[in-house]
Amino acid sequence: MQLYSIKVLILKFKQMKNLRKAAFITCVILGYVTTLSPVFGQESPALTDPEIASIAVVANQNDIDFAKIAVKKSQNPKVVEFAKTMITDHNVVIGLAVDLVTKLNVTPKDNAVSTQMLADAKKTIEMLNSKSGKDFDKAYVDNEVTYHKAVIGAVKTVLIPQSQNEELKALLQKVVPILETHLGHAEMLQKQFN
Amino acid sequence: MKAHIFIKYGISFLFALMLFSYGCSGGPKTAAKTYVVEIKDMQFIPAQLNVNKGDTVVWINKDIVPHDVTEVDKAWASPLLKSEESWQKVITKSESYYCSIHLIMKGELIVE
Repeated sequence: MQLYSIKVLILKFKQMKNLRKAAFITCVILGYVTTLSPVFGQESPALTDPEIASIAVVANQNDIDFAKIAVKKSQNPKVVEFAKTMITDHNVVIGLAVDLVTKLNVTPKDNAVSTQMLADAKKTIEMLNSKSGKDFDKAYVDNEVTYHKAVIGAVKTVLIPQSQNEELKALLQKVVPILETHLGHAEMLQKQFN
Repeated sequence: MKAHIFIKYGISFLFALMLFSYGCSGGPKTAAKTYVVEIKDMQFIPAQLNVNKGDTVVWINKDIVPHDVTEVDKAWASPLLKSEESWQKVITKSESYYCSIHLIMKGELIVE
């Protein structure tokens, strides 16, 4: 995907309402997959297992980074507890992913999707750092809802179907209910702010 | 002769006492059972469990992330249960519980 296109997409993303952002992020990932498909050929998966491992680690690390800001800035005990849970759970997933790639002697490989996710996370971090008080809490929780919806969509429709290694696929399948529980928890918190 | 009468009535008394005790206890009691609740895929399985007073429930964490088992009013709580760790409690009354880490995970014990 061209750099110009990425900038246009980011601008459009900023203008969107939160409800549409999740679908948008998933579409970006799917868009990359479609774009990359010809490179690997029709019979080959668009993403290799090292690339999927990289995306999984980045997706988890991003949410840890958001949560660390919440722990530092929020005065709301429920938001802080939720953020601490995000740090614990996503660290567990990263640990298992690292154990698996070590066992398989595979090195997670940076790719267009993980690079884009890192760039998006940087902007989210800037946005969170610019807010305080209840505005921060609302922004953090809204982003958690959006982010988890997007990641769940991507894991279910892209990462699991394209994983070649059965252990990697199994790990991703185990992660789905965790993400769905996080989403349910975030949506419960979100009701306080709307 | 006196000893013979004493033994005769003594045995009768003990037998009567045993019958009385048996009657008061309501007959033979069912032995307390142990039930297992698996914590798997971010759910308590089964989420609702019928038990008898005095039965034991063992919670086993089969997930990769830590959980706990906390009574809904925080009257009691398990320690943090990491993957494959377990915790047990003797149940004396109906209880509602949840995971205090993942608030949407809920379970219920019904004493019949």
